[in-house]
Amino acid sequence: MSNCSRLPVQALAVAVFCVITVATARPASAPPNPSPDIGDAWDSLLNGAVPPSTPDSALVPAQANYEASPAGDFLHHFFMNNRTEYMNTQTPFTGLPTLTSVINAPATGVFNPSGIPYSPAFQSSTNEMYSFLNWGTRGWLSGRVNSNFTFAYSQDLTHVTNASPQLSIIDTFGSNRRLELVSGYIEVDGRPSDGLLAGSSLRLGRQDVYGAELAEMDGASLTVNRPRYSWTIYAGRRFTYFSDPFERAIGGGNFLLRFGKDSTIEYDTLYYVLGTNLFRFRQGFGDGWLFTSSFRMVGSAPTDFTADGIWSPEDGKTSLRLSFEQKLSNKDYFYDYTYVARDLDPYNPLLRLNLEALHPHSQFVIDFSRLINDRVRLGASVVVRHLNHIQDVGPFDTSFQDYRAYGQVFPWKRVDLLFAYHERDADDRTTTTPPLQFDDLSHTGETKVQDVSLEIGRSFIDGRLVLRVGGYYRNLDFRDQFTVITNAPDKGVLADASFKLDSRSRLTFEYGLDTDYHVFEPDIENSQMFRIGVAWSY
Amino acid sequence: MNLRRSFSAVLCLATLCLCATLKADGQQAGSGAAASSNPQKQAQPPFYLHEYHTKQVGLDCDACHVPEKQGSVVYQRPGHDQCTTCHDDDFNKEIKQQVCSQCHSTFPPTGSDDLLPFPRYKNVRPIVFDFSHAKHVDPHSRVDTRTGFRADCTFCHRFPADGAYASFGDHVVCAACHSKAGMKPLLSDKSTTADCLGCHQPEAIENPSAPPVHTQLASFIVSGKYDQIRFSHAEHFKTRDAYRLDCTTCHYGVAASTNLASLTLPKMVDCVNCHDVSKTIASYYRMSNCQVCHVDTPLGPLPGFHSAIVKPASHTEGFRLRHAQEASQPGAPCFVCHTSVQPTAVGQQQCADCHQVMMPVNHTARWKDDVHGKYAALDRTTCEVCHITDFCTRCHNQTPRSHFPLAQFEAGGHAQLAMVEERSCFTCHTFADTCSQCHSLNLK
Repeated sequence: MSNCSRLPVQALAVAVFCVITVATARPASAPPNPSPDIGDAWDSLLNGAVPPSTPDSALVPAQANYEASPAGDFLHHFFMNNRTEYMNTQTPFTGLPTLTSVINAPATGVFNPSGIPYSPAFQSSTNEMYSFLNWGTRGWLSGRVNSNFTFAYSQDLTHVTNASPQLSIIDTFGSNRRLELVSGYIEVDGRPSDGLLAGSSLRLGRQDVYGAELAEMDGASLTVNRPRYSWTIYAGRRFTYFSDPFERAIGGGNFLLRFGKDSTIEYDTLYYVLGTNLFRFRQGFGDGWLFTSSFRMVGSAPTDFTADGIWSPEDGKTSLRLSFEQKLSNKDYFYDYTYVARDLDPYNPLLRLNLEALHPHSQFVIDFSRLINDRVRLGASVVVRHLNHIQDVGPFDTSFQDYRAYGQVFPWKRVDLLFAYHERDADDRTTTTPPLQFDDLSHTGETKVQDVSLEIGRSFIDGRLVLRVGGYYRNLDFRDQFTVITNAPDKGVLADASFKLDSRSRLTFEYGLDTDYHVFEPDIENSQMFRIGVAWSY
Repeated sequence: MNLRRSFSAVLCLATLCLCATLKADGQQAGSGAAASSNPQKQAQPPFYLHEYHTKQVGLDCDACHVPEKQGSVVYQRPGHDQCTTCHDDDFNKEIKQQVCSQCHSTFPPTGSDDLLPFPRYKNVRPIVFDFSHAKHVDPHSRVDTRTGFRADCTFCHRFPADGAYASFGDHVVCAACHSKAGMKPLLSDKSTTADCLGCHQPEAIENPSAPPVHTQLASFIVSGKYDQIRFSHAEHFKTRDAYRLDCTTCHYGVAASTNLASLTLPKMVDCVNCHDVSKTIASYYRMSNCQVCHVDTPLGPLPGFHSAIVKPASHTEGFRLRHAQEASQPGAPCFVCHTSVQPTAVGQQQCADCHQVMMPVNHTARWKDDVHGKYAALDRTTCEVCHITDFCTRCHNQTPRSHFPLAQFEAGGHAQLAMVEERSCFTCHTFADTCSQCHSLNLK
């Protein structure tokens, strides 16, 4: 089906939901067909036809006086969440050259038998700050109007050299800082008594809309949420801080019908370069069962089918998830909207991330958690993914079996202990044809990963002070067409403290230390991170 | 073989988990089952009092239901005087339990203390199923000067001293209009069977196989009480001026309701308009304090399992990755703990409110330098929860640390790195655009 011929279908869906909305709109507080008889009856009733009764005793207490704040009504409707962090990173070096034979020595222009001198690669310390600010109003000036603005700001406080181990995404922006308006919108909500507009919400500005895929846009979205259905239509200009895609127009809609209290059918669509269509069915059963199934298409190609069963009974002690996923084709791209969107991107003219699409596979998931008693909670999960075609096995996509077991124990009051074990076994990649070409990566990739982590926390002063310390140990088996590495260790410790100054502000301290297998980073001894943060909300 | 072992492990794990759960749950269920397996009394065909007397015997309502006094619209409950008209022997010669049990909960009856409600719906109370608020509301929404609320609401519904529950109208209230000449149904001391049936359907109330609309009444309508909810109408009356409250602020659907089955209590999200929007509400009365309304929560402002340390049981490791289904459910209660999520909007459209502030704990300093690539190779689907491609390509388009100084790296410095992990090269480069300048494609 061509893109053009699909557009009328999406337009038809929008039209159908609009018609349903108008037809089933909740009337305003007055009935739709006021009867003069009733009006007359009330007229006579209120003109002394009924003897006045004694007021209810519940109405006797004096009303509490409403006192406006000295700053006016604004502060009553204003909210703000702020978090600012300072981060210091330390990287001690071993004195060995890097894997590319670079050594920490000044470049003199004279041949150095020890390696290639380039001292900027050995920057040992950097400083960085990060600030997040979310503010807005709820019901200010009008109970129908909300606003929400979110800014993120990050800045290098130290000049980071080109080859520094602390290079990050900030260093890809001018002046090594990033100021991002993450979201900024005005929302106008309908009140329950607004009849046709009851349950409606209009958002204008920078926003994220979730549906068939995430749509980040500057534009407008209109949502109508009713007991039997809800729908959202949106359109705008795609925004992103990380590229400058050629095509910007984006739009779509989410439509949901509810059948009874336990069943919904959903159709989500997004049009950006190609159309993405997602159909989803949800059905609740008995005591806490929820079944969900979905089917997704990109363009005219079916790409995904999923079926999930979640059991979460009301006692809150048990959780069970059974999931099946079938990747039907690789006609989509997992991170971005489409291949085409990326190809049109003039900022990234080179295809610098050759991860390929995810290939057709089947995946089963079992995830179980149970509160054994007041002190112990245990859980486990198993994920099995099997690529449907052996020739699809590659460096970024393979069959695997993933096991995870975890627990939470409360041995004493105000103390909790977390532990987790994780193991992933991938195909050993030895059964495929030996590589004959330089760029054949079919033998390359992780074959086994094991993680063990332990964390203990204790709260003090009625929970205002929380201290946590933990560690992890990671073991990695890896093979390349030239190398086989087994039991490569990676370990570290993490510690953090959080102190709640009052109900609105909190101080945080974090420390992290981790080391890696020296084959990968022979020059780096370890990496340490210290972070101080303050969070304040109003 | 790996796959076969995995499936075996999956089945074993699933079996063990389910057995543990079923065993634990079965212990509780078993006790209930044992109790219910007591020898049952011999089954008797159901007897519906009103249906029998009106359809089998052909009595009119006024044969049993008589006014308290002449001219009154209040009818007294039928007593022995009415029954003995036909059942004299059953009362005065041989007392029959079947007859007594129609009105009394004990046998032999001890007095009026054990009288059952009549006609009884689910053994609780009489219900006027088809009462239409839409037909009874004042089209002009006039206000009662005594209460400041809509006159049509306060005319029928009153409140006891504690102010918790609204009362329901009785015959005295109905008679304010229905006793006027020409009204149908007419309520007077001379009402006929047709008048009674204009509001009451006692046969349907007593019969459990009545049409579905009669069996789907909300529990609070049946019981007249809230389930596990603490609420006071009187307390809300006190602040009605400050918040411009009226009955229909919360009960907005009532005015359009055509029968009791379509009545609903205000939902929790309806409370949000006041209890979360404006800070004029004291913090104790905010949505984050469950105890204000919910009586089934343990001590403390939040249930113990909602604290910062102890999360709900459903919030497993897998939940962190795959909670989209739950979060997008209508009425998802994420906002109770996640204060950045607004309860007024559809939860599904607020994912970014959490995901833009909650960085995973494993994203340490080394994560961005080295480790993230290995995990991305293992399963990219987890990255996609927060990142889209242009975030990744932004960094991957920069020259990495290992490539400095570039001239020496190109001249041969890259060899050892490529020998350890050639994949890292081909993450950004292809053989055609880079390697082919010096290397042959075929391995020798």
